Amino acid sequence: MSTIEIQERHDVVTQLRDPAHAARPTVEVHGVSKWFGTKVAVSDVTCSFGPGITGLLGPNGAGKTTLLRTITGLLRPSEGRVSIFGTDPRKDPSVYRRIGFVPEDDAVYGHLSARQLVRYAAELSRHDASPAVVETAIARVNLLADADRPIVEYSKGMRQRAKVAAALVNEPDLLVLDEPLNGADPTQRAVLIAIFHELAAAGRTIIVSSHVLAEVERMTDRVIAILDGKLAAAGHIRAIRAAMTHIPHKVRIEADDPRILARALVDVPAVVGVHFQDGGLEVETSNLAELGKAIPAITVEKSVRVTRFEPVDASLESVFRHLLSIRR
Amino acid sequence: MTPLLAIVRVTVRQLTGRTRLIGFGLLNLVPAALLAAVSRSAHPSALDLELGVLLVVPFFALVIPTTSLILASSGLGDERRDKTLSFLLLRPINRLEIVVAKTIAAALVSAGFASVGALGLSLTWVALGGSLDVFPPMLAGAALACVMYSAVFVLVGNVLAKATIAGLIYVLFFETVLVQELPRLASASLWRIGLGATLATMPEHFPARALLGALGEWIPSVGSALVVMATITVIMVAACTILLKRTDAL
Repeated sequence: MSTIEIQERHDVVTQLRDPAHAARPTVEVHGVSKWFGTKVAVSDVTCSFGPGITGLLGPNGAGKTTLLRTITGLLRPSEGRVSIFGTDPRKDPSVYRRIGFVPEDDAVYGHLSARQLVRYAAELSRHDASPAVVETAIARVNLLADADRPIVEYSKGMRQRAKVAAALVNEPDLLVLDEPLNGADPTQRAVLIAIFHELAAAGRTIIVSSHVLAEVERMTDRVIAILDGKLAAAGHIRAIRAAMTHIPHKVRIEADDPRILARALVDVPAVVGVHFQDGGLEVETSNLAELGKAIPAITVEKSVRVTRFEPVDASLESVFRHLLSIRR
Repeated sequence: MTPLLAIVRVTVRQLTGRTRLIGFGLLNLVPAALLAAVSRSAHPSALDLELGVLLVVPFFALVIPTTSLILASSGLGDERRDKTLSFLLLRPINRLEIVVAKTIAAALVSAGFASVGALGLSLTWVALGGSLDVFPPMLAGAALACVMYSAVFVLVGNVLAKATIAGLIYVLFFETVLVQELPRLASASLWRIGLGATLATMPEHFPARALLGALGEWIPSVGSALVVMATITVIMVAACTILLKRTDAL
């Protein structure tokens, strides 16, 4: 790889670092780094989270869990600072009244039942731990039928739901979820995602970390991507993709006469390549907006009717794949 | 229920699983069985002193330390091992409450097992012709020792993954071998402090004076035992609280 290419890729990453800040931040991360001995797990991350769902993305070992644990105050930042609702959680534990946390690990008290776990969580949060409140939290995650069995007998998905119920019982304003859908079956996933949407709609801040991109995409379109402990990209998925100008966008175009359209598109400066695929065209363009402007003119000039125009690589997965390729 | 009481309740449950109940229950009854067995073969002239030693020394020197240190190091150690510590730390409670609750729970469970052992020994003592009035001093001294071991080993369990091994080395090497060689260190031996309180409050017919040799140079009294216990407990709880506050919860 030439120096110029490296510089270009560096520029792309720099460009993608553009404001990772929520409009109404409830959680602010300022220049946070965290290292363990000589291993740097998180490096100079600055971002913020506000009401709604934000996906925290990254491959395994990227530093997501370390960042989440630093945000919640479980880990002390080596550098930088974190504030939640304007407070440093390590200095003022009272802020935890407003926080619910679902850890990634299979960390749960196996000897307790879900009912006992949720009650314990409510008591520790100085929240109403009455049977009705506990029952409501358990019912929310569809676990009532098994609420009195010891958690050690639960499947992984059920344990996840028990942890989510325990995190919800104090009606938190901030919910931090580390891989919350791990082990849950499709029905359970749908239930949990619906709960997160409901809370987000009610103005709660939800930070959800996951390496299953399709799930994050079902929950939110605002993401923060972490690669090698660094903030690689932040914002809305389409905006991140749009900023990756060095990687051609792919657009699926269907028309009544694809051949005429293809010939015309080859002459458009922003078009990098045109391929016939499944009766339509897959067009690679360096500038999606320019291509969008060129299409109406072509349809008039060549009397071609375009029936479909759809970017096909603006999905979270493809964006993430591009980010990984930049890293490499 | 306050968070402190809730942590005590759940920790007591954690520490009293079926295996532990049976294991520690039996362990605490071993000195009584030993006392009963030896009493049959002992020479009548040596009976008072020999049985007096057997009544208290194995119980205080081995059974109470072993039970307490294993249970106490599980207090926070198991939370770290099972990665459930975040469940406690991400709550609107200060670290002191967590450490105090864990220490109380460990001390309660240890003292519970110790009371079974003390009762077994006292009943055996009664069967050998003694009286049941040895039971309250034994229980009090045992409780004192349990509190100290709990305070120390909740801290050690929070810091070391192999806290039980470290504890056994402390008990078997420092408290047993080293203090025997260097009696000046006796006041740093937790079981001797508990035993001191027990001997100081034993009924007059018990050969307590003859057992003082087991305590090294430390002169037992209830007051001094209480002061040492309070000092050790406060220092350990404070140290553990600071560590829990300042270190990462991995």
